[in-house]
Parts: sequence; structure tokens; C-alpha cells
Amino acid sequence: MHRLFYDTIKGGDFRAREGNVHRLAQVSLNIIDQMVAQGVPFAREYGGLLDTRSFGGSQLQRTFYARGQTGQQLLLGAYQQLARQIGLGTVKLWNRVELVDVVTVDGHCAGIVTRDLVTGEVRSHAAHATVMCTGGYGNAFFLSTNAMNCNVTAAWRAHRKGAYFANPCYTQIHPTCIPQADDTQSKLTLMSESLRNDGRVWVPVNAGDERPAAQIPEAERDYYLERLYPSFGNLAPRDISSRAAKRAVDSGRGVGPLKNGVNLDFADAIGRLGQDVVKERYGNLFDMYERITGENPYDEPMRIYPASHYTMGGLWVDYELMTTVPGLYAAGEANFSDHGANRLGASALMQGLADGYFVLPYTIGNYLAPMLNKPIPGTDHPEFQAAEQAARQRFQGFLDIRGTRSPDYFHRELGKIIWDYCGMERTEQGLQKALSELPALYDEFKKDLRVTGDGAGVNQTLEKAGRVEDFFELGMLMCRDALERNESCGGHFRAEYQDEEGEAQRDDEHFAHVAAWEFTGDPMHAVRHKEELEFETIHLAKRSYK
Amino acid sequence: MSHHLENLTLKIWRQNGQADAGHFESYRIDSISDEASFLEMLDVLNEKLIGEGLEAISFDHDCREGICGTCSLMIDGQAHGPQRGTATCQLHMRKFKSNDTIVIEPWRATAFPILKDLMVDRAPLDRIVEAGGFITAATGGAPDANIIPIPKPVADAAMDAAECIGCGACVAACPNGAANLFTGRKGEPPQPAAAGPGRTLEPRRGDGGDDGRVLRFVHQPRRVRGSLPEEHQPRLHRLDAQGLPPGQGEEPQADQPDLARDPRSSPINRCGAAPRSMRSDWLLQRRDAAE
Repeated sequence: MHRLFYDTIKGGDFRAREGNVHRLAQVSLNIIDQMVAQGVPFAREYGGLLDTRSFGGSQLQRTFYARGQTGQQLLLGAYQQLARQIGLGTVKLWNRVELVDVVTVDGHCAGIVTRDLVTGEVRSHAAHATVMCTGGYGNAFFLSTNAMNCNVTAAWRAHRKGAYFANPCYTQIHPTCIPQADDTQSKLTLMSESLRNDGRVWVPVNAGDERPAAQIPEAERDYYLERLYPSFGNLAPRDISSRAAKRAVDSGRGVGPLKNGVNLDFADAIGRLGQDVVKERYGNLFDMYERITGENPYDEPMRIYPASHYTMGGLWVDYELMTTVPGLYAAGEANFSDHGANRLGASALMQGLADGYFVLPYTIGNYLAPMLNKPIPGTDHPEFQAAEQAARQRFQGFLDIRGTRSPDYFHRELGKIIWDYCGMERTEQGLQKALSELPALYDEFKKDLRVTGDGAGVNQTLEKAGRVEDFFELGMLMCRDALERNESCGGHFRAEYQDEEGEAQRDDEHFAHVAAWEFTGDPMHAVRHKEELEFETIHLAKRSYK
Repeated sequence: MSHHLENLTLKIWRQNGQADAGHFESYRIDSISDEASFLEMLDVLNEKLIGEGLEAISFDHDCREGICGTCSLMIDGQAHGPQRGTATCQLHMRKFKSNDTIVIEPWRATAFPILKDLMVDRAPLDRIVEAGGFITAATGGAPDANIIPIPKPVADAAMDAAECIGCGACVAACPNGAANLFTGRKGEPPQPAAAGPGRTLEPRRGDGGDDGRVLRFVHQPRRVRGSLPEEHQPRLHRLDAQGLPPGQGEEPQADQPDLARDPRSSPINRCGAAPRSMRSDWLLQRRDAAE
């Protein structure tokens, strides 16, 4: 447990809150027991005990798994337990309904306003307490490994109603994704990180080497992760692997038709273990790769390139996971609490399950207990009415612009700016450029957006418009946060702050804090607050994986 | 390097909500990269439609990695299209060629009412799970997961059953529109039929009999018909005096599916999808040519 605690703090580049991470490591022991009891079919050894494997950023083999789809199986397990509660009548599920605003009364969260995605109806829900488990904002980049419907709207609407947004510049770029194939691409596909257990990452030594991988002799291959980080090799943490891949491609040594990837080669593993074993471990991933690229990874190396995958930043929460708005909680990727500036493999699942199963059930009662038998504002309260009215006007407003460009067009352009200037490597100059381009594009959005159809039924274009608008505001805050953080740490790499070997250079004296932003009406003028980070048991140290 | 497909004709089902009768509309689309996924091809079409001031085609999609089970299209009469074991979002345009005509429909099933265009309501699958697709024990303080060793073959079988992504293709493909494959994954223990770790391996009662959950599953989808007000029932199922849906009495156009003969509209056979033998000839020819 201490090892997990230590690795997570170090993996997060000493920018996570120590107390939260310690608790995460503590309850992690219960998660697997709980999920097995709820029926998740984790892999077993022949003796019948649970199997484990190693994962990025860890030298220990300690990650439980369910083929190549652990996350999906955990999700299904949790979903089926939720379904049980729905069947029992303790939970009511609103399918195809989206949060469009958070309502506060006297400074406390009183509930939310939603829009029904099938009928367009705007409706209020009053509550004693509200929990947001609404995921991260990786789709701000447009191309990411997140599902297409992931968006920042819920968190952003909460931010606009007073919840501080912490560390928006901490975004994780995952090293093992399939490179972009053309301009119409809508999303990037993650190849499970587990592939790095047996695959070796390399590029040709010489820039512009056009030969197929099989014809490049060993001596002319650069296994750069093994060369640069001998103790972790191909399992170096995500931020480090991603930057190394970017450098390889930027130096002209990229592979594939667009020269935008690096090789992930299984030839050694197939030689050592045999194709059957490799197939058993990764068969579904190999099949998926072949479906997407049309290439067979048993015969030639996979091509991979980093892509936006996870966002460590999120709504600021205290130790009890409550945001700065009393009564409003944020759990999982939607909050900022446990991963600091970089997340280790498998720990998003760990945190999501820990928050939901083992933290909130014990902390939320502290807020609810004094409210026993006291009335709460109903949905007929003027604040709810005003929020409903504003939401209706907002969506009607998108329809009324009648410009010429679709929401997707703006999303793509917006994502490109953020990727170019606030992606894997950031510079002061680039961020300033982004901060002048983003508001200009946002103005164009407000004048030239075109949403066809109407607001009375299913209208996916209209849904998208609202989400893109929130990504605009968030994008500005991301760039501002990245600009203010004059250091490199984890996923936030400022080119100005690196040592002679190109490794990130932290500034613990000035930046060992969480930046929590307060909304003031315009993200360009948000106010930055600091939460100092104190490390009692783990000493600040340079994060080295050499 | 990628190639481009030209002159694709898409025949797409458009239906503005459950009250609308719906119809096929043809679109022509050019220069689609063969690296594009099928859904990205629809994205391109939608951008084009919005550019022309027309309403985009609604379709469900989310992860686009073949794992979430949200995408749902009948492509040339096959659930998820021609590639075996592949969800629509993982189907790529390299499986098609220039000048192809592609017919795109929503899931065909009585239990899945059409919300709009290609988007259907699959809440009945949720209700099946709510009826018993879970471990029934309250797991409050769970014991150590290694206290009960599970033999690897049993664990693997459980994993096989658990891989179902719940997309509903089995319902759409079944001539009877039945969710047997889905309920099988969620309710019946795989071999050996013993208590195991999988969520599908719920131990049977001591008398060796079923605990009734499968029967509860089976009764779920039927509720959907009653749950919708009559005016929102899909029009395809409302029949006139001759047993034909309104407006379908006349000769169907030669290149369109014969909706009147679609068994969905038969008062006796309320199947979800047309069995192969009853599908329009044009569709069969097209598919045979592709094979």
C-alpha cells in the first residue's frame, strides 16, 4: 500500500494532495474485493487466485485485469448493481437527459436543470446534495480517446455557478493510440497500455528511412525508451513516453504513411512466447488495430502516437470531495484530487471506484445530517425558474444565429488551437497566441454558428453547440492556467523549463500548489487561488525514471 | 496511402420522431477516404447537410472504439454491417468501393421504437438487466476476493459471457426481434453450471431450478408497447383494414424495401426484423453480389 501511495505521488510529479492519495491507496485494497463480489470476472491464474500484471509507471506487477477490457468490465459491474437499485425503486435513472445548469440558493447547491435530449424539455431537479460524476474534458482537443459524448458542460456549468476549477492545464496525453489517418477523423483510438508490457517501442535511427519495418536491421533501430529510461524501459510513465514519441516524430523519424507514429513491435514477444500467448493476452486489441488500420500487427509493428486521454484537472474539491459550492460534490475524473500533474495506469478506475464506493458514502452524510427534517427549496423557487428560462434562451439562441458553420467545424478549429499550443509541449509565446486566437474564434462562433432543425425534439447538432461553447470557455482557462504555471511538471511541459537532458524541471519553491480558478463572468478574467501542497511523509524529489 | 471512394449512394431511413411514418432518402457522397470509419462518413454527410441548411441525420454513437455498444445501424440489411464481429463504429470504408449503394436503417425491432432517423430507444435492455442481470447479494463488506479460488476455465467462461456490449444487434438481427442472446449473456450460467465469479454465474437455487429471473427477463420487452401512448407507437405497426400500414397500399418503388410485406407490419407475426427469405430482392442481390 505504501508503494502505491508513493508511486502515485511521484507519478503525479508531487502536485497531488498527499492526504487524498493516501486514502486512495488505503481503500484500493477494498476495491477488488468489492468488484469481485459484484461479479466482475477478473483474470485468474490456474490455481484459481486473481492474476495481476504490471502497468505504466510501475515496477511492480500489481494491476488486476479482465482481458483487455478491465474498465469496461468494471463499468458493467457497477452498472448492473445500479440497475439492481433501479429495479428496487431506490434510484431513478433519467436516460438521454443532459445537465444544462446548476442552481444555487443562498450559496448552497439546490439542484440542477436538465434538458431532455429526446423532447427538448427543460426541467429542474431539486436535491439536498448533488454529486457530479461527469468525467473529464479531454475532448476539448477535439481529437482524443474519449467517447464522442464526453464533454465538460456539467463541470463547467458548476464552475460558472461558483465552483472553483483546479489545475485545468494538467491534461494527460496517452502514448499508445493509433495515429491520425486523415483529416475527417473524428476520434483517436487508444490501444491498451498493457501492450507496452510486451511490445518494444522504436523508430529508425535515420530520419526519412522509408523501408518497411522488417527490412530495418537491429543496428538501425532506436529503442529510445529502453535507451533513455533503462530501469523502466517501455513501461516509462505516460507523460514521459508521450514526449519521447513526440520528439522522435518531430525529428523526422516517424513511421507510417503520414510519418506521424512510432513502432510498437511484438516480434520479440512473439518469438519468445509464441503467437498463441500473445494472442491470448492481446488478441482483441490486435483485432481492433487491424479493423482500424487494415494492417496485421502479428506481421508488422503497430504504429502508435500520443493522444489526449485523461484530464487530471477538474473541479476543486476538499478532502470530503465537496466543491467550493456547499452541497455540490464531484467524484472521479470530474474532480482534480488524486493524480497531481500526471496519472498512472489503471488509477482512473481506481479513483472513480474509490470515490464512489468508499469515500462519498462516508463523507456526504456530514453535509446531510444537519439538514434532517428541514425543507429544501423546491423546483418552483425563483432561482430554478430563472435557470430554466436562461437555459431555454441559450438553446434558442444557438438556433437563432443562423450563420454558416456547424458546431463540429468550430470544435475542430478550437481543438487544433488547444492541441498546438496547450498540448504535449507548451511555450509562453504559444499560449499567448492561443489566448488571442481563442476569443476571436469564440466571437466568430457566436456570430456564425449554424444549427439546423429545431429545439423541440432530438437534435444532436444543438446538443453539440452547447458543449462546444463550454469547451471554448474552458480552453481559455486551460491556456491561462498553463501560462501562469511557470514550471514543467507531469503532463504540463513548458519548453522553457527543462534541464539539459530535456527532462521536466519543477519549481517547488513557487509552484508546489494547486491553482484553483474562480469564475468572474469571463474565463479570460478568472481569478487564481492557491492551495499550498504540504508533504508530510513523502519528500519532494526529482522524478526520475532513468 | 489512403484512397478515396467516389460516387457513393446512401439510402438512409429518415423519420422525424415516433409519430412520423418515415421514408428512405437518397444521398450522394464523394471523396470519402478509405481510412475513414463508417460513422465518419456519416459525419461528412452531416456536415454537408448542415452546409446546405438541412437537418443532420440523427444516429447514436459514443466511444467509436467498439466497446460501449451505443452505435446501432442496419447496413445493407445486416446489423452492424458486413464485417463479422465488428460494431458499426469499427467498420471502415475500405470495406466498400466506389459506386456502391449502401442502405442504412435503424435497428429493426418492435421493442426498439425509433426516436429519430437512425436512433432507437434501447431502454428495454436496461429493463432486462434491472429485472435480474446482476449479483443479487448485498455486497457491503466484501470478503477477500481470493478466499474462494475460481478455476481458470470457469473464470474464462464467465469472461466470455461478460463480453457482451449490450448493443442490441442480436435483437435487430433476430427474425423474431427477440433478445435471447442478450438475456442468455445476462442470465444463464455458462458451463460448468456452478457458482462462480462471473456476474452471469449466479448460483441456482438448491432445488436445481431457476430462480425465475430468466422469466422476468423475458417479460420485460413487452412492456414497451404499453409504455408508449398510442399516438407515439411507430406507424409501421399500425395497420389499415387490409392489414397494411397507411399509405403503403400502393406499389412500392422498385428500389426500396417493400414495407408492406415487412413482417413487422403483419398482424400475426410481430417480428422485429425481416427474415432473409422475406427481404426485398434488391437487397439480397446486392448482398450476394458483395459476397
